[in-house]
Amino acid sequence: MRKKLLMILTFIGGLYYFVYWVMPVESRLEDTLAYFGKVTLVIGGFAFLLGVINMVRLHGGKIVLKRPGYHNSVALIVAMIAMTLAELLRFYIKPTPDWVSKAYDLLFFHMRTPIDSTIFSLLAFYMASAAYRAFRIKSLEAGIMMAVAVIVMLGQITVGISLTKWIPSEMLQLQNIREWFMKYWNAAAQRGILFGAMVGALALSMRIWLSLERGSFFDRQL
Amino acid sequence: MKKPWYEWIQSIDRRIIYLVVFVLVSLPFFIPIPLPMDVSEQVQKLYNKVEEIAEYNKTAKKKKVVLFSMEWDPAVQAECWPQTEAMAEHCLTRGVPFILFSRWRPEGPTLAQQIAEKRAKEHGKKYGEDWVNFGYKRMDLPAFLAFIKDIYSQVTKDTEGTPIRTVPMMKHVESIRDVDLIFHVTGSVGVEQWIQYLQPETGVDVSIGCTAIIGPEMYPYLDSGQMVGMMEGLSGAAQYERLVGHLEGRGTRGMGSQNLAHFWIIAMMILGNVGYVFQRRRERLDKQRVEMSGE
Amino acid sequence: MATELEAKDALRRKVETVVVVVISAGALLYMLVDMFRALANPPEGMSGGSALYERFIVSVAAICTIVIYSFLYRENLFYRFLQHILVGLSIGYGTAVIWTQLLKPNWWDRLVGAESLPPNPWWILAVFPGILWYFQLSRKKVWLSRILIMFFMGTGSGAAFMGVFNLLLTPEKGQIQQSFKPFLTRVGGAPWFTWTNFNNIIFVVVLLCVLSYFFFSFRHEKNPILPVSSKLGRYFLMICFGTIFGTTVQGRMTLLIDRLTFLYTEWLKILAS
Repeated sequence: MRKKLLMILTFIGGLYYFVYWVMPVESRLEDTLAYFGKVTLVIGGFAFLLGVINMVRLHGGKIVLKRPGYHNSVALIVAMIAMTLAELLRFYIKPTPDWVSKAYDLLFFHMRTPIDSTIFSLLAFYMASAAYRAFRIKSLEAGIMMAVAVIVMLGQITVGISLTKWIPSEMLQLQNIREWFMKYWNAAAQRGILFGAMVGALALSMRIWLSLERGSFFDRQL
Repeated sequence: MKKPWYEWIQSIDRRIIYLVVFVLVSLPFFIPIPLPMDVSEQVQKLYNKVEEIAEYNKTAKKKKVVLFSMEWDPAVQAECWPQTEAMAEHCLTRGVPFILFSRWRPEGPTLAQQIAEKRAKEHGKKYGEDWVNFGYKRMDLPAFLAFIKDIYSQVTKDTEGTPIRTVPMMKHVESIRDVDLIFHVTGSVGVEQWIQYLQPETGVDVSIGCTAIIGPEMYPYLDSGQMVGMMEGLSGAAQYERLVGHLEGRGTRGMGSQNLAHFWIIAMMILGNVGYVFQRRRERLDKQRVEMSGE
Repeated sequence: MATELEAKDALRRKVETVVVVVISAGALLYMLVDMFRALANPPEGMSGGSALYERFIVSVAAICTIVIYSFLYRENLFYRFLQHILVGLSIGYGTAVIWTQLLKPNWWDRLVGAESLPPNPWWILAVFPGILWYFQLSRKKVWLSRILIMFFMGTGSGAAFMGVFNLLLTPEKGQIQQSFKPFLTRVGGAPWFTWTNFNNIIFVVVLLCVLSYFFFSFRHEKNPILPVSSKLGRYFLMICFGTIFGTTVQGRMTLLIDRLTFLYTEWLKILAS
């Protein structure tokens, strides 16, 4: 019974778009778009507290039981509350008081932004280390990949471009060779991958819409 | 036993590699490498499109606008910030009104607001007349389709709380068809939805400012004409800054460091492989010697 | 041998401690000097207090940056502490923004009739399906949350049809239409073979070979063409991955350049911003 209910709801959800796509005017679903959009948006938005609840459960438990590293969990909870309050106060109190602006400035622009950007920037170092340790030309494929990678890298930097600037034929200059690889070889391969991905997405969508999909999530006892 | 040289060059401590990366990236900050960027075809096409809008707006009563779809966050601001800044500079100096907006990233319009305010202050431009910030308007697909049908059904206020219809520049925008160009800036997703759902319906041109990592994935759309132009990574931003004459931008400044960093990566690749080749040769010779002595 | 290693280890730990103390003390000292300098000589149009606070928050950002970079040497408790703070700040920001930018304007204002919208009590019904999300936290009633998940999966899959067909088959610009490229060009009525035609051949050959590489509907060995084309497809995919690697290097380095720009221009002020 439960499984049938889920199958029916899945089908109805997909049917809306399918009918809208094949008969947008005749089905009069165009008129309902704005309303349907708002309703699904609001229902989806209600999940916003799930992340908070999970975090509080996980880290709250660590704090209460004083597990090793619980001070990190305290910092997490405090940061979460502080950022939520700063954003809500900035939104609700108009004109924004100076202390709220300053707190928001500190938390968003001078803590969250730099920490987030810096964690991502660590990848620059890992890139160098990976290029050194892992990139080994063990086969023709790897050799092709490395050769093209070097051409693309040199063709996208000013010093690399100036290395071949003296060549009279523009076609043989590094930046143009790079463009040639990107526009034709890379674009064609990417399009091939895109076709494969789109056809796969279509097949999977069909299977989900008609509840034909099998797997751990779909077959679990309800 | 002392390590042979080909094993030694394959086992340099990673912290030394990191230190060299740090030094090489820092050096051009103090010793600039003043080499100009060549402008690529896709950056030129994007520039030409905005110029076309600017020329049209010179004589038109109802101006065409550009919609900046700011789907980026602090993690990718290194590339997306200079791209947004270069485009904002172009639009503000050429009198092309623009809209800041985001469907997925709440931080995008907040960060773009800082950029627009700074550029607008330098050129004496005003919020509401030359640009407006819709802010983050979370839209899943039906809401997005409704937005395409009627902007005002989904956007009623700007980030300041002003009713959107009272914003002076919005008199030029009755529907999404009055947006002549979507400039989608992102580190990951979203541009496909403009192409899938907006373009077939309205024919509005779509362009992208993306991180270099996803740049290669955009070439099929450039080839088909579904995208009119692209700024790819920091070099794309540097090229656009050159076109608009904003040479003190982050894109241009960062290219010097890119040069040395790229050479170091290539050097590391070569070093690792030279050591590997000689190690394999040694192993093959040792194996042959063992086989011969066994016979 | 063991005592030698222990001695080396102890020396290394001592050196690490000294380096950490020196760097921390240096950063803290610079931060204090910078803040007091701002207080004593605030920029034009700013009070001493505002200038002090501005330098304080820039120093906080710089210290966060340096602590994250300490991870490159070794994972440490300061890095882990900041990692937790980042998670907290991100969740807090996301939660608040979903309320202020999504639920409040689209649901609450319509329900109670705020911001010049007429009140509509029917919006209270949205709470009931909305609450179903939270049954994910219950082991016995988790199937109730599946109602929403399956409904949204259904809508997503329905939308995929529209999206895929629009992307691939839009008149004139569709990906499939644009894959049919001319191999000859007419110049003055006569067919000519130009550089563009050569590139078009490359494009079509690469595309077909890559597609054949992903073709699994029947065995390649029994077909005369597929083994060759799929092997070529693999080589062409390597060209594609090479371009991705090349552009990824630029992307990653840009992230580092941005952080160093911040440290040199805004914190240390040894370069003009």
